[in-house]
Amino acid sequence: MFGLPLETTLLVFGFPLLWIVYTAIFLLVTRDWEHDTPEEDGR
Amino acid sequence: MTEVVVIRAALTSTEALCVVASLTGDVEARVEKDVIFPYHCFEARCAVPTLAGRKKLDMICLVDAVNGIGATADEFQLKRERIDVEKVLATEIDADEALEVARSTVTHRLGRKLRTISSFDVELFPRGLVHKRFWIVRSSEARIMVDSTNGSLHPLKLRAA
Amino acid sequence: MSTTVIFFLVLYYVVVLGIGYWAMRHGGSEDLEGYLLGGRKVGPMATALTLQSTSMSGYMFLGAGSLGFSQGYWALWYAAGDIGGGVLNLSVIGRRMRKLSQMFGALTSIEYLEKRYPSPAVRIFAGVLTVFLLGFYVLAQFIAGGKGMALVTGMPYPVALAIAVGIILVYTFMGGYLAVAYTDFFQSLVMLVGVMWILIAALGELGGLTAANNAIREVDPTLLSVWGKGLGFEGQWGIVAGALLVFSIGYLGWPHVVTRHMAMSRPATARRAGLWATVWNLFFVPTPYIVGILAILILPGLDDPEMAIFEVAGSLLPAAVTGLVMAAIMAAIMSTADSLLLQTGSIASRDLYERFINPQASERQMVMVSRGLVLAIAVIGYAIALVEPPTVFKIVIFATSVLGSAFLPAYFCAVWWRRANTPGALSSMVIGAAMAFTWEYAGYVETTQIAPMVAGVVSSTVTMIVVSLLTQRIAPVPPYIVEVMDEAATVGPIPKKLLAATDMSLAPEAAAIGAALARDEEAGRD
Repeated sequence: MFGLPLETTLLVFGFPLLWIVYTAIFLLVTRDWEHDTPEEDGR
Repeated sequence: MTEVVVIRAALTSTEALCVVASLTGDVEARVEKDVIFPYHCFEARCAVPTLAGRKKLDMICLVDAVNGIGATADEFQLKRERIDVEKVLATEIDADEALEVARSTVTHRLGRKLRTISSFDVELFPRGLVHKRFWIVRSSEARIMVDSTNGSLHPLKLRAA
Repeated sequence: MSTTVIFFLVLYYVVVLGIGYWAMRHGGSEDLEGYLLGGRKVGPMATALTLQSTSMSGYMFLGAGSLGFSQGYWALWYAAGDIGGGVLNLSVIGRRMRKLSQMFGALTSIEYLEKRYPSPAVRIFAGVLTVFLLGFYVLAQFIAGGKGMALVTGMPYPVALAIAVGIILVYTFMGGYLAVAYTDFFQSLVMLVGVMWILIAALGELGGLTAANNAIREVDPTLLSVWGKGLGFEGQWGIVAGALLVFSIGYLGWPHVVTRHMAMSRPATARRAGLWATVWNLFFVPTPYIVGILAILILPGLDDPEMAIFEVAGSLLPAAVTGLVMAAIMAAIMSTADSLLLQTGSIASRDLYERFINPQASERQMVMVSRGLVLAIAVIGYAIALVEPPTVFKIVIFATSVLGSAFLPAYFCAVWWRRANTPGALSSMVIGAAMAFTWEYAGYVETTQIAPMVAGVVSSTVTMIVVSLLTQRIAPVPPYIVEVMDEAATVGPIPKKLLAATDMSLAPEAAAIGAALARDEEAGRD
């Protein structure tokens, strides 16, 4: 892909994909953390 | 009964109940009682360095009189109220300790926000004890406290200290 | 660099200063108060942008670029961990650390460590180590600023370095309203656009990524491999592990990262920050490494790899854009240096001077101590940067490895392990730091093919566990701390929506009221 050897392709695209999935799971698991008062950190 | 200075509430007990009920969906929720929490109040006058010279800045700092934790606060209105003494939490932190905490809090906050190593000429003026009313709401086995001044809430864990 | 570049660079600073000045003159004191006390007018995206942009610094522009230029795609091992660092730390530690620090009333990361692991030794060691290593990180920014300034203005390096250090000092001592929300936002935006422009221009120049990679294959096929130039790192998984760890979990050792976690008031903030961190990192973490790699083709005769990104910008962008982008980059570097120096000054004056030397210290005395240390760092840093500057890459990796090795188990166990006690924490910090330090300087990296970060983290973690367990009887974790940890843990059975709406800054009041109600109920029962 993009003229890169397989291992490099895995490195370049694999880890970002991993983190996207991790973040998606994090957002899914914490979907109840959202609250309607849009107050920002005061401290 | 005793007379104390209380920060004027933005929420009545009914409104507090509504906040909790809407979050838990519990129609049986009820306000159990209210608790009066003491804070040492300080007025801070500072001089803050800006591109257009030093600007004067006033702010309020409240120091939690039970745990000794300080925080800067928005403007609020006060009123005197007669309260059942048992509702008021006992003060553990005296005014001198609170003064030091207030100084730390204000200086630290200014330093962090303004990102500068500079003296802010902080002058603190004690304004005595003020109190906040917290509504204690019981809902589906849980107890939640609601800050009557802004509707913030926090679940309670009852454990012997 | 041409006069057009310099003109636009100066214009940029004039505009930024102008915004700051105008905001101060015309904004009422309510604006200032609002900014200082609440920051409520700044939306979540702007907050996220400014949070993430503090990670743009000398490392990004000099270090990452130089590694890409020298080692090809090997460099992306460092990016691989870095991309997820933000969300990882927020998801594992964020909310609990916030609660714990709130309940302790800790204002700084060092204070937080001492409150959780009560002992003056913890504060002294953590404070001194952090100041020492922050000094290194500042040195990296000095070098980046000096070299950047020299390149743009054409001045000799010693002069450019002096100017860069001078501007950083001015920023730090008199920053004041330069840090106003909109200038930060404006700067981040310019940099964002600039960095992307550089990447796109480089790809355009080379006919796309595939064409570029094919051309690199002609130069040296090993640059496309994951093992570095000449397959120098082949099979060295210990080094690879270090590269992955250093910016994923290693940077939790940095006080400014910890303080960011300590500052969040609602769970929703942590959640949103996690999302933004990943989105931002996906674009901006790999980019400087890739531009460095592309520079192999664009600037084959480059003799200082650290200048790869700046030189690519200079050769490909229109002069005006180069000027603006360079200005934004310089501003970012100086802003990072300023934040680091503030941390250093704060730790030195609050955590060390006021705590141990002069508890009655006045505000002015503490300011003097802060400034004194900052000046010392500036002088020593200037000397080192002038005489024998190490590479930015080496400095940052080294400093992050030592700090990460020292503090990782301490921060992690502070919220997750009730048995983590003071002897355990103190010994893990000392051993972790010593191990990472020695591993680097005694040359064990070459002989064992294991990165200092790996050696350091493994040894500090093992030490924390072993020492805590062995000393449980003689030095148990104080009950009030266990209680605070319980409070910081999820309070159940509480409906999720309620949990989400919790204002964590009320944790101390909740603890006191909970205790009072419990007492009343006990009394009522008796």
